[in-house]
Amino acid sequence: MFKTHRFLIVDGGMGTMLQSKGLKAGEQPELFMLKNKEVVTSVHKEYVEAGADIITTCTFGANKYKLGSDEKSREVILCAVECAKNSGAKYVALDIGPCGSLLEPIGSLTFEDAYDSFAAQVKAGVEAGADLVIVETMSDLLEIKAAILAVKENSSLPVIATMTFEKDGKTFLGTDAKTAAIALTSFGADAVGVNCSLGPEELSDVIDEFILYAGVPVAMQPNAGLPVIENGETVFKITPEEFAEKSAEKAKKGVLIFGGCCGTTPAHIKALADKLKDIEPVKLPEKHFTSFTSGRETVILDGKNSAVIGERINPTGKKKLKEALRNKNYDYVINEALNQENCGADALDVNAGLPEIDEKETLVAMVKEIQAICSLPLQIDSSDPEVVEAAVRIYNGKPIINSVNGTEDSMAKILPIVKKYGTAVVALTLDDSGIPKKAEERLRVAEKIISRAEAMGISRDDIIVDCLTLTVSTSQSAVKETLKAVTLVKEKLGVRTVLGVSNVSFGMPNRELINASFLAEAYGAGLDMPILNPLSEKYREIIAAHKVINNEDVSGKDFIEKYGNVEKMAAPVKADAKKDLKDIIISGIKGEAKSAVAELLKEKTPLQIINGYFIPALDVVGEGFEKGKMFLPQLMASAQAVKNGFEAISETMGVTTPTKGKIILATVKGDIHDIGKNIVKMLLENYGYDVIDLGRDVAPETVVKAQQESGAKLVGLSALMTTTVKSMKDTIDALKVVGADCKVMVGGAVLNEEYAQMVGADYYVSDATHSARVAAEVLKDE
Amino acid sequence: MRDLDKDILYCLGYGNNLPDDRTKSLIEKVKTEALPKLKPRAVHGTFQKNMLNFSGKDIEEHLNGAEQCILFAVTLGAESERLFSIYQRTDMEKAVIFDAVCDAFVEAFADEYCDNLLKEYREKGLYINTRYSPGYGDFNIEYQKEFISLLNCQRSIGLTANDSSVLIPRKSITAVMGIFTSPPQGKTKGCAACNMNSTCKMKGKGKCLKHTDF
Repeated sequence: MFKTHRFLIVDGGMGTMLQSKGLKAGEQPELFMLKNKEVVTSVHKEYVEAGADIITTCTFGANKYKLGSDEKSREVILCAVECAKNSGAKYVALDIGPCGSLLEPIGSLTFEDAYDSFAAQVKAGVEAGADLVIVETMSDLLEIKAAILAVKENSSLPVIATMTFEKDGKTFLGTDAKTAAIALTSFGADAVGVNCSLGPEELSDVIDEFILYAGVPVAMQPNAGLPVIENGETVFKITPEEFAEKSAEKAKKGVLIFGGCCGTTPAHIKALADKLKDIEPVKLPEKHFTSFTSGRETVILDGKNSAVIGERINPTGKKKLKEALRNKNYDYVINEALNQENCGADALDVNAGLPEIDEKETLVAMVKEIQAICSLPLQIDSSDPEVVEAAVRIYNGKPIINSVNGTEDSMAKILPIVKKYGTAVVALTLDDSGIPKKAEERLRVAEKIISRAEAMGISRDDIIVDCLTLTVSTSQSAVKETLKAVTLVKEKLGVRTVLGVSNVSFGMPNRELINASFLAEAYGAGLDMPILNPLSEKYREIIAAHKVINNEDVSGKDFIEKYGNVEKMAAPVKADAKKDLKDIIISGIKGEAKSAVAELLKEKTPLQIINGYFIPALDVVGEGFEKGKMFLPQLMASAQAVKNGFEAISETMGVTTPTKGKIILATVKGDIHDIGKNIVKMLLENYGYDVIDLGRDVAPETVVKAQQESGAKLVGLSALMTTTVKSMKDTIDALKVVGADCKVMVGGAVLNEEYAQMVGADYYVSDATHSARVAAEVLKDE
Repeated sequence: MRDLDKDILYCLGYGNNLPDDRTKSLIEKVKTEALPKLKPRAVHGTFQKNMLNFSGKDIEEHLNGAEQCILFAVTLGAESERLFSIYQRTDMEKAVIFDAVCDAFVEAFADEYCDNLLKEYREKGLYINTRYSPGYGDFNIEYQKEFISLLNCQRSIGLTANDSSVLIPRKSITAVMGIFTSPPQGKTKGCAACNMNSTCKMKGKGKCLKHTDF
């Protein structure tokens, strides 16, 4: 279908057509169809007569989340495909829209939930005899990835994948058009593009981005302009002629697949088909660039620019990160990610290779956490192919895999993952005989990997060669060979190069100086992508200078902004008088708490500091808060100061401080308003309790399981809505059924003493300080 | 026009108290770094009252005398959720401030949107009353799903509701207003009618954020 180079015309809107044929406001078109098959078939027929090659089934919302079950979804799909076939359509496309609930982390649907639902739809579509699949109106790259994978893993049908963009050129979840074009291509869609939301004119820039960056044919199915809901009916203003005119402009620029979305009618499609008759399809030139994306943004390496990969999320040799990963403390990982982003990293390496942890579980969890918050593309770093695939599968963009090498085993296991998920990959120039000594030999290993990859249909644009940095202290003469190999590989193979920079100085004094000098020389040799610690100022200076010399930082704008005023900057003012730690906490001076605690640790034990400073200060703040003399931001500032103080204790003493007992906290099922719970958590941790935070939207059985496993004597539940207070009762009932030996405290905006009793709680807490008092009472004997 | 700064302080529980300088500057900082990143979106539609199956004494009273109504929904969008996650993971003080900034901002945005509608309808010689949201009075919160479906919110502004009728993204409002041919009776829907009556921390402390009509 997409092999021949000609225009394909898809039909226009269905929902808006059915509105004029009896579909009521708010009624699901799929259910309307079950009762009115002939009406739906007649709409399809009108589109066939108007000139549509592809007829889209009336199944936009035919998933289990909107219809209640996979069985209902199947029933609808079988009926819809039949309706479409009965219209005499040339091709029938199974239509798949979003699940209707948002995926994690904003919503609570998991990637696997979404995949399973889409897979059931695809299987029904295959059973009914659909010719292709159109996945459309998606805002979330991860959701559309689940849908495309579901098509590819459960059928051999081609798939057109389109997303919906707003006036700012981004989807509701913040994905820009360039990223969508590149990522959708990498997921394996046969055609990619834009649908719904706006008219063809407003979407013009977005479509141009697709033409520039997509690696497969581009599709556009805009609305007939912006919808207006009048008297319960959705109406659209763009005329068929205008619609056809604006669409045809894009035909001349390279779009191949045309159609309409909401508000377009057979008249729009007819006008479009007529217009396209006089236009010759444009063949787009082949595109050559190396790219990788996050769910929001894209990095492109075209050989003229460079990009920095942050190396800090790798537990090797990092005590604090190791500790954090062991405790599943992903806040630490998130902070590492954001700090590197703020220091100018363009992508982040993510590694969870620790012997004592479950690498697969940890890497997947880290990728989920980071991609939810950080805008940078990730480099999935593991030597275990199973771990790599698990992490790549749930990644919401086009990642880099780190890495494949020239051994048969590695190529056989990693390259299929690269191919299947359309990732970029780092290729290490080593093979069964180790790292070759000579640059020319490393070139040959790179050549071998590339030709193997190309034979599998992987473009060399997606291969980034690592010529491997050796250390000056053990292999001094080899360091120059690496640089020579970088130049050779780049020139002879036309690929991008990557190097880990920091190891070169291993075993030497003033490592930063050697590292920075090596970086400068590597840039000179043609390095495109260093892997380094972006928090190092020395590196950042070299990178900034390189970007000026390399003509990337045009007119040295960034450089001047950064270094132009250095001399004028005043030295930071040193705090004059030493403040008492208690005052620091009460005033919420977060930045000074750590050093004050470190100072005190010279003469006092951690417990003396906790009981003599932290708790008395928190009590003062708590009392002020309850009396309305201090306010929530101040309470949080003081809590943060204490938290920083605890960090100083664990850093200085190398121990975790003794705990006063375990407390489980959860925001109950159905509720996602968790800030109250998080405030409580912070304060309870301040007071020295070990808080097991189960998060939000937590099922009763999860709370029960955690209580039984941990033996926590106190459980805190929060809910904000009247509808979710019921989940609170269900959770407390579930705890009672198993005879859990614990007290329950509840809090949240709609609760009071009376409601708390009604749901069966032992305590009602009005705010965080109140919860600390309850904890003290319940856990006094721990 | 409402005063955003004042509303933020209300949401943070300050009542009529003023923040200290450090907090004040932190509020400014959060506003400057976060507000430009938010992309508030809105959608509205007109419906015959008999097309809507709203039941409840309060909502009937609110729409009494109107044949047509306007349903609308506003949201601060997915970016508000992402920023919220960032603040919660990095700085809880900023997180609670951002929470308040969003609450105040989404109300202000909804107000502005309604004001524009009001002007538009006045030009046609019609009147609209104040907005009324599911979850207030005896207007069941579960009507959120009706709003989402009637306004096609997932497609139009990226707004959904979960099974517990929690709007996602959280910083969102849905509401209904009546359209009238003569000035509507200024019925006060004060604290007495509100389901948060017994627990509301704003009660008696001045203007309530949820009810603009007193």
